[in-house]
This record gives sequence, C-alpha cells and structure tokens, in this order.
Amino acid sequence: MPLSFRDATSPTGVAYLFIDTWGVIELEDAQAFVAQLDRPEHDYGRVLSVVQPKTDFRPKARKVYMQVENFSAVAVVVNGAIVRAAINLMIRLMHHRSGVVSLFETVEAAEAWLEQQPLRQRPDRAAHSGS
Amino acid sequence: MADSARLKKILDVVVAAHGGDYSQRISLEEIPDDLLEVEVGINFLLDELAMREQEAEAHRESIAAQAAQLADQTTALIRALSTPIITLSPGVLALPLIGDFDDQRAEDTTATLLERVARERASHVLLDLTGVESVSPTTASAILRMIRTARLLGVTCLVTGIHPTAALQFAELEPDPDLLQTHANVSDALALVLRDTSRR
Repeated sequence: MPLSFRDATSPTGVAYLFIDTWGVIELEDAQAFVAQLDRPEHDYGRVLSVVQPKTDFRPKARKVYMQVENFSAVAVVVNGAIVRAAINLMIRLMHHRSGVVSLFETVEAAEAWLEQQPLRQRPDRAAHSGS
Repeated sequence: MADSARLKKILDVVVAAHGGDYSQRISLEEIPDDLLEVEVGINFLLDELAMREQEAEAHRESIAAQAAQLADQTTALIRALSTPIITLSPGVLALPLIGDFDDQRAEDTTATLLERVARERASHVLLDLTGVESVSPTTASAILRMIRTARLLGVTCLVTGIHPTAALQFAELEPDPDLLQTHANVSDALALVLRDTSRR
C-alpha cells in the first residue's frame, strides 16, 4: 500500500496522525485513509501528510479524499510541482466544507502550523454542548 | 516545453474531448507555474468525464438488461394469457384458442395443456376453435399433433366451434375420424362429456 500511518506527537506535545504517501493512490488506499480518520483517537483530529513527488491520486481516490470531513486540520508537506498542483485543486474542489488544509514544504513548518490549529468538535457533540 | 506548445497541447486535448474522446491527457512537467494547475485541472475534468461516461454506459446496459427482462416477462405473460385453460368440472378442461396459432404457440400450448392434464388427472379436453377463423396447413397439423399427444396420455379431446374454412383445411389433412371428434359448440360437447363421466 502506498500509504503508511503512524500516531505522532509534535515537539509541544500535540498529537496527530502522520501519513506518508507515495506512488499511485487507488480507491482502496483512500478508503484506508478514511478508516484511519474514523479511529476515535483521530476522529476530528489533526493530520500531517507527507506526499512524495510524482504521487498520483487516481480519480476515484480523489473523490474519497475530497469527501472526507471528520478532521480539524490537515498539513500537507509536498515538494513536487505536479502533485502540489493536484492537491491545490483537490482543496479547491472540497469547497472548504471541512476543517482547514494547508500546504508546506517542510515537516517542521507543517508541524508548527498544526500545533496552532484548534480541534473542531464533532457536530453531534457540538450540538450537545450548545443546548 | 514552451508555454505556446503547452497551450497548443491543452487546446488539442480540449478539442478531442469536445469530439467525445476523453482518453487524452495533457502530459505534465514539474514546472511550478499557474499553467500547471490549469493543465492538472483539465486532466481532472477529463478523468471526471471519462468516469461519468463509464457510469452512463453501465446505466444504459442495466436499463437494456431490465428492458430485455421485462420483454421476456411480457412474452411469458402473453403466452400464459393466450392459453387460458379452464377447469369445467373435475377432470374436464376447456381450452379456447384465440388468434394466430403458429408452431411456437402450438408447442407452448401443448406443453401447458399436458402439464395441466397431468396435474389435474384430466380425462377430457374441450378444444374450442370459435376464436380461430381459419388455419394454415401448419396450424392444422400443429393442432392435430396436440390432440394426438394428449390422447397418448389417455385424454379424449373434443374440438368445438370449427369455422367452415377451418373445417376445409382440417379435412385436407385427412385426420383419423376417431382423433378429431368435433361438436358444433362447447355446450354440446360438455353435455356429452358430463354424460360420459357420470356413467363411469
């Protein structure tokens, strides 16, 4: 699988899901990503994804990525021009329905940004706390 | 690749897509500029068009399969309705034939009739031809074959309501008089059958 996941912590102790991404991303790979975000410790959490140059997101996988909503912030570390353009476009196509997504050139910069991002509440919990 | 060459490639791909060819893609180079995002965007759009075309094709095939299934069901229903076998009394069946009676229908009707004969242990079948104005030699042969087959199962077939033209056509085939027992109408035949069965 062209994705690897691990639980990570930033220097200031902020927990996030780390994803390394490379090669050709098919539908089942995107579904594996969704499954990771559905884990209770990452649901509506922070994500740091390093996307290697020449990574190719296949059309059905892109659709899945663009429909993901249960995250608070995603920092994407990307250096290849083509994959950067692709991710930029995917972010545009998401219409900002979800949490924030931002692109970086280094893991350090991405981590520093991620530390500043507040956690979103799950909609059901937000409704509960609002009543 | 110079911008002009890249723009020409974009136009070529757009023109091909306009003509229904969604297989072409713009070849991308690692040049971090605004045009790259446009190129990626067009490739995304073509991926989407190709995917929707595939979905539409699958949908069309599914509709065609459903239509074929519906046509088969309709044909089966029409066949069932065109062979209305009625139980007049225990062991006595009536089969009114209406409309054209070709080889295929003869085969279907024979199969349905024999199945009912076996299931109801019928001893008599009234074959009413009032609804058949004329019969082709093939049709007449098919009807005689059906009667002969039923007889092999021990069933007596009585034919009623033969039109004069149909009678001539049957006569030309010179059927066995024992085989083709005819009566003017269903009530005559039924009276005979009921008399016959009450004697047993």
